[in-house]
Amino acid sequence: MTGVDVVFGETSATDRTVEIPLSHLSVELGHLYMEDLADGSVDLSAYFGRIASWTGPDQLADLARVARSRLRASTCVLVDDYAAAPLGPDVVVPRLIAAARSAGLTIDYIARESGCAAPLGGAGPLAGLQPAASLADLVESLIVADPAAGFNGSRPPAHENGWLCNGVRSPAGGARQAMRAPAAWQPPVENRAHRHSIFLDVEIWREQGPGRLWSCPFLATVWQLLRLGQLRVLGQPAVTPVGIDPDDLPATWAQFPTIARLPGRAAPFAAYRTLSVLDGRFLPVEHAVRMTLGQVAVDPIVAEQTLRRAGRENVPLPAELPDRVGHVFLGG
Amino acid sequence: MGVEDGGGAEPGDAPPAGAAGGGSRVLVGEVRTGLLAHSRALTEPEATAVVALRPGFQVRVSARPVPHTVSPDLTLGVHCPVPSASGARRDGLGTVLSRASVTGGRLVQASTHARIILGGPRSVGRRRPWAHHLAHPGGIEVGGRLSADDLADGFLLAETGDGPGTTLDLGAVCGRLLDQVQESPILDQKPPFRARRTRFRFVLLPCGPPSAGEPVCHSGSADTDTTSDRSPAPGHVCRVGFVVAGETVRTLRIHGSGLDLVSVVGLCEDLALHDWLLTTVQHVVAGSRVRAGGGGRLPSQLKPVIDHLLHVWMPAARIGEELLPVWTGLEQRPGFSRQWESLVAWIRDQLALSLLAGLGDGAR
Repeated sequence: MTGVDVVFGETSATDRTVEIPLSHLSVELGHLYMEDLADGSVDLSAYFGRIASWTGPDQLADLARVARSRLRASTCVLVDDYAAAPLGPDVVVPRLIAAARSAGLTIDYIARESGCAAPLGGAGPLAGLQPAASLADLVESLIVADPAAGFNGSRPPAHENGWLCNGVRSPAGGARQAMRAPAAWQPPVENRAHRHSIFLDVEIWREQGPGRLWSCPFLATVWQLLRLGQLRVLGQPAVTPVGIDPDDLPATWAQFPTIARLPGRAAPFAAYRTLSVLDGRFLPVEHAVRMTLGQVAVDPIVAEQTLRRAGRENVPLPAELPDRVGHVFLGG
Repeated sequence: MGVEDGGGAEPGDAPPAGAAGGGSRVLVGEVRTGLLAHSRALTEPEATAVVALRPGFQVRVSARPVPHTVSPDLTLGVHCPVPSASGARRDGLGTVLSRASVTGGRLVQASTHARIILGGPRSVGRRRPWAHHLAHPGGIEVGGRLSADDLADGFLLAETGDGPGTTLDLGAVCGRLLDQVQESPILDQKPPFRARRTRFRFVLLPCGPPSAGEPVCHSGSADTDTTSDRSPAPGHVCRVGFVVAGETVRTLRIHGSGLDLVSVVGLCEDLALHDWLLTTVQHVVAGSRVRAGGGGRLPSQLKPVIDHLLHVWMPAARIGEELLPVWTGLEQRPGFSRQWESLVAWIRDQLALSLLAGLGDGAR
C-alpha cells in the first residue's frame, strides 16, 4: 500500500431515491360515495360541519405531535370515481369546495380514486427497467404477507388469487371423499391473536374482463401510502400533485390529475402521519386498510429517509406504517 | 458432528459484552452461483432486465472493474424454528432478504440472508405486530434462549438446504431465486458449457473468545481451513474459518464486530463468485488434462473458459477496507489467487502449444 486512501465510487452503482416535501399531518375531510354526491338530498354542508369539529388546529397539532405554531397540515378529499362516475370534476369539485367552505374548511387537494388504478405514465421502459403498471400494481408488489406459523421458506409463499388475510384460513371443507367422514370444521386463526382471533380476509382484486378490478379497501390502502409519501417508481415520486384552476375544470375524471392541488397556500400533500375523519360505515374498509398497510414493505430507502427527516424535525414517528394512520369515525 | 453441544442454557453461552439489548445478533446467509443459461455474455441492458425482479424498483449497475448488476432486495416473511446444532427448537419470526446479480454478463448469483436476533420473548402472544418486522427488513427475532454458536453450527452444518425440514430454509429461497433468474425469457437456455452451481453458506458472529471446538474441521470432507487473528476493535474482523465441504458446498464463519452487514453480504457474494470460478475452471482443466496431448491441439473445453471466464477474476474489487483482511487471509491459505494463476498459466501454456503446433502445421 502506498498510504494513499483511494475512494472509488460509481454514481450508477447506488440508487437515487428522491425525497418529497412532507407536512406533519395529512387530513382527509371525509369520504363520500359518488351516489352521495349525486343525491341532491344529502346536506353536504352539515356533513363537513361535523368533520370540522374534529379538525381544529389544536386537535391536529396534538395528533401530529408538534406545537400548533409550527404545524404543517394539508387537507384532502378522495373522490370515489373508480366504479362509476356519473358526475364529472366540473360538477363535483365546485360542490365539494363550496360545502367545505360553508363549514369553515379549506380543501387543499382533491384526488381521484381511479388514479390509483390507472396506468402509470412518465418513465417508459428504460434500459430494461419496468415501471409498475399502476399504483395498485406497485403496492400489490410491496405486499409481504404475514407468514403463518411453520412457514420456513422451503416452498414459495402461497398465492391466494387476490385475497390477503391476517392469519390462517379455516381449512376448506370441499374435498370430501366417499366412505370418509367429513372433516370437522376448524376455525380460522389470527396470527399473534390477543387471546381470541379476529380473523380478517380481504379481497384485493378480482379478474374482470381483460384486467383486474381492484377492491375499494385496497385502493384506500394505496391512497394512505400516497398520503404517507411512501411510494416511488424507479426512485421518483409515484405521483406529484398538479395545480388546477377551479374555474376551468374538465368534464371527465380521466382528464383530471390523480392528485390535484387547489389554489392557495397549501402545505405539502404527503405527511408523516394521516388523519381520516369518516362516517362509521367506513370502519370495515379502514380495518382492511390497516391490516393491508401492516403487510406492505415500502422501499427501505424511503422508509429510512422519512424517519431521518422526522428525527431532524423532532417529530416523534413510529416506524410501523399502520401506527402513522389515525381515524375518527363519526356516528350517524 | 459433535461440535460443542449447544445446550443453549449454559451460563457460558451468555451473549458477549456489548451485544445490544441482551441478545446477540448472528448474520446467516447463502449464496448460490452458476453460469447464466445463455449462449453469449449479456449486454448491460440485458443484464439489467434479467435482474429487474420488482416493478418500479431500481437495479444497481456498476461497470468497473467488471460489469455487475444487482436486483432490488426481495423480502419474504418466515415464521419457523431457526437452525440449531443441538436440536433446540427456537421459534423465529421476521423476514429474509434476497437479491440476484449478474457479473461480467456471464455469471449469475442469488443470495439470501437474515440477521437473527436472539433473546426475544418466548411467547408468541407477546411478539410484536407484523408491521414491526417489515419496518426492520431482514431481521428474524427468536424467542427463548439459544446461543449464537449453536445457531451458527446448526446453520453451517445442515446437510441440505432444500430438504423437507421444518427449520428456516434459506437455501430453498436462494435456489428458487436463481431458478427464477435462469428462467428469464431473455435467456436462450444455451450455456456455452455445463457448469455446476455452488452453494456458499456464511455466518457472521460476534467477536469474543474462540469456542472450544472451533475452528477445527467441521466435517470429514473438509480440506481447507483458514484462520487469521486480529485484535478486536470497531469495524474489525477477528477470526475467519473457511471450509470446502464437498464438491459444491462451502462455508464461511466470520467473527467480527462493528461490521456493516450489507458489506459482509457483498464480501460473501464476491468470495462465492471467485470460489465458483476457481471450482469451475479447475473442473474443466482437470477434464482437459486427461484428454490433453492430442498433437498440441487446444482441448476444446478450454475455449469457452478463455472466452467467458478468465477476465471475470477480480478479487475484492467491491470490498470495503474493514473486510479486506478476510480476503487477505484467504489469499494466504488456501490461496485463491495462487490457485487461479496456476490454472490460468496452464491454460495459456496449452494455448501457446496449440499456436506453435498450428505454425508447425503451416510450415509443412
